[in-house]
Amino acid sequence: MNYFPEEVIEHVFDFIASHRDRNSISLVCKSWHKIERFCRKRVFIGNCYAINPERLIGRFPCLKSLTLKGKPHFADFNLVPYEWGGFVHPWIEALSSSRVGLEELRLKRMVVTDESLELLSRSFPNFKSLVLVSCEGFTTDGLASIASNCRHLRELDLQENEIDDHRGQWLNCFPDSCTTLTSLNFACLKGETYVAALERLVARSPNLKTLKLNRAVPLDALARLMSCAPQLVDLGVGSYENEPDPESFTKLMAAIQKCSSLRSLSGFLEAAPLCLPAFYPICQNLISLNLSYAAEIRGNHLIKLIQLSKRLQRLWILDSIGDKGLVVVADTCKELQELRVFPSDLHGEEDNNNAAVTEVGLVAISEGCPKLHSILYFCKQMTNAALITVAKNCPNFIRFRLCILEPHKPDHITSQSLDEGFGAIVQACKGLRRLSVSGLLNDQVFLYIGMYAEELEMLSIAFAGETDKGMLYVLNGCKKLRKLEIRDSPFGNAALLADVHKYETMRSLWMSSCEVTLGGCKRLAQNSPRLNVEIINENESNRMERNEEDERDKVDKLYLYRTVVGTRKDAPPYVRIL
Amino acid sequence: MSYRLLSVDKEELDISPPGLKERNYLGLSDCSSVDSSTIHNRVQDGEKSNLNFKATELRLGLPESQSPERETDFGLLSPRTPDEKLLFPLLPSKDIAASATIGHKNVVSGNKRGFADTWDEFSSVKGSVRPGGGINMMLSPKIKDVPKSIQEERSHAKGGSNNAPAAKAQVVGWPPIRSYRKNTMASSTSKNTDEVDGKPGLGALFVKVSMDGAPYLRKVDLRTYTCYQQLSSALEKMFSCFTLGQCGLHGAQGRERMSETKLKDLLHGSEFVLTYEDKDGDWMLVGDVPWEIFTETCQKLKIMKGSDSIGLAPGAVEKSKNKDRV
Repeated sequence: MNYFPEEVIEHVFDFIASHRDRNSISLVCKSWHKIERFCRKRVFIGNCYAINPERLIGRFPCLKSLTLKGKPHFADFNLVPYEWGGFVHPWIEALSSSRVGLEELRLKRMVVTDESLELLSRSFPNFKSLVLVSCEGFTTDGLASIASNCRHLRELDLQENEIDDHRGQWLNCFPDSCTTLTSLNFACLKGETYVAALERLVARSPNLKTLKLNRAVPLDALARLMSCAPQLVDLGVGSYENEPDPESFTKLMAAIQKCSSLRSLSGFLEAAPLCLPAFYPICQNLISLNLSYAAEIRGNHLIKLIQLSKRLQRLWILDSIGDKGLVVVADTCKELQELRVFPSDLHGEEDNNNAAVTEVGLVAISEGCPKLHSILYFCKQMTNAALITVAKNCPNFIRFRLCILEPHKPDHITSQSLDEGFGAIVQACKGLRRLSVSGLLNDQVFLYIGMYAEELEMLSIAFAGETDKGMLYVLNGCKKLRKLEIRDSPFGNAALLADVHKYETMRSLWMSSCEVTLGGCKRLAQNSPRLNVEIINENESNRMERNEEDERDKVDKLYLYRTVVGTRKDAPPYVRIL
Repeated sequence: MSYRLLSVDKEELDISPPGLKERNYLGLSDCSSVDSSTIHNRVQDGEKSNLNFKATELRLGLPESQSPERETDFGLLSPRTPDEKLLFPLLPSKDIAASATIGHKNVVSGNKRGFADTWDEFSSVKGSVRPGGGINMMLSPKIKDVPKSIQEERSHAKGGSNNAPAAKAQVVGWPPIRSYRKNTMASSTSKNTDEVDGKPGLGALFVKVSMDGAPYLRKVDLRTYTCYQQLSSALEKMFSCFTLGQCGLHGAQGRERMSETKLKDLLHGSEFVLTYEDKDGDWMLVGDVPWEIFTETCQKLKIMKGSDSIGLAPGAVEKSKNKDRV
């Protein structure tokens, strides 16, 4: 290949999209490294503290798309304090003062401010796409800047962010000349929506394929929106409430029927089940259905929807569907690839078992859906036998996340631990990349994981294990492990310190409410210049004077990650970086 | 009217239905504040210095009348550790009187609240009457009588700790569901569970908490508390470091008890007031309205210096107080 001119090599590289492949080819030789650098358009940074913006820009000056992730995964469950870090502003500042022609920014679990959004909107004339997932710190004022200033905006995708809704007119800020929108998702906004502005915007966006509304958009507006956007592929209907009058309903039905391209449906936060039939005609085209916020769609309404959606590949629902509902899914959705079943009763207060799903539903799905490769399943009970059956039926799992709501719960029939069940999963599913375990588990399950889960990249452990051996099995066995997150498990210093170099092959390790001590963490940090070892102790009152601290004190939360840029400077006082 | 102060022990309490184990749901660390406390709840054996339940147990007798002008003989406690002092004098909330009757309603699954009169080991601290007629009252309903079935169903931290607060004995961050989803489900279902008596909305309700002078915000889940006292305690714990700094107390003083005079200085010198922003964007003093209404309308919390709110009648604080908003 080296005999080809650079342009040719560049052209070949253009076909290589995956980040990992790109990273690999840049390691082949110096000249490839150089060529690859200058033609790299998309960069993915899984931990924003592993590198800094200056070095990023230095290496990839022609960068067009940047993906950044900030807080550790457990921040989603409020285990990471609000201002731990993950601020995007320094990145935007640095990019803004460089010559990078940024066109796309995708952020996950980062703190974004209105100021950042304003700067972003003014700095990059060709900016096209902003995707924010699980971020916070900004308001609709920031969105207004984006709308006003990004002349070529195509995508504004806000997924599950905490946004202060100032009930302003941000939708009105899109100039009349803006006709390039392909994707608009503001489902997570809690306030009122200026519907007239939205309708005008949709009307002048002929390329709009994705539209996800928030709960404030009423049913009649939905009908009008859909009539001016029959080309929609992905629709989030917002609240979908109120019993419409017959005329509105007819209009809605007519509008929906024209949407022959519709493939994905979500929303229905307060659905009036009687309106659902309006969607029946297009169900047969659906490949993705997200009813995980639709607490009102239950029983027969839900079943009917599913029975009509024979081509579903992705289904997100609440456990109110019950085992019986899952049997219907198994019978109907033979193309199903991804299933997520969320709990509707979040505090385990309801005793009635009708509402929940059990191992029965899981087994049914595994029997009926041969293409299933990703599952997230919240349930109240499980058995080893079921897991073994599931493993046999579905050896193709890539992601297997099982969350038994009650910690330490054993097999509800045999009262044994669930080690064998999970063991069967990892043994059968040779391509497993992500695993979350739960229920009563000893060290044995980790032995299995270490032995069999060769492709495992991310492992989540909660309330499991017996001794340090458990964690050691995993660290020693899973060669491709990138992210390990552990909470409330009895792993301590011995496991933590056994192989410090392992952590440099991983993105990060999280341990909270385990047995590691301050002393152990200090020892770990001592010999690891390329690791940041962070101790998070939000309870200030626990923090003693430095000279009084006891190395035998257990550490509340430990987060460590590899980095090439040393300790970060933006940590709050309750985060101590060793 | 004054509150009777009896002495200590849990064993002396006469409200103890047969067959039910008494649990201590008091203590700051018992409050399931979003972030820290429940982690420490795991410690059944460990005697971490800050888990001084007894030090912070404060019991009140049932008010004999619902007069808003109750006077108390005590304001803040003198806890063993500085972090346990109560810094947010709450207005006499209707909570107290109301809770006697609605104790069932706003607590999950029929937990009852009993009040007991004990005052644990403190010298009597003279309370201060705040300007505007407010009264310092530290209230701490002792929550007992938790039915066993509830306890079994609770997800416990490792070791089966039973120190979870009565109302929502959840482990922090469990089940692993994004707070966004919890909040969204909560507001969806709360509309539909209005009729169901005593059943709270599902999910969580996270609000931001800022404090004058503190550079960092926190977040709390209002649904993990059932009364102002719990909220107040939890906030205190989170923000105590900033207060300590201001009052010049050193960590070395650690577990010493504060003397009465120092406590009074604290009270008058750096009194903090808890305020919240309601749905209309107005800033109000916390403690005015019944707890349930508060949780429905509260958008944000802010801990202000008392001096900033002097002269203001309870219930109406001008928006200008926001000027130092973090």
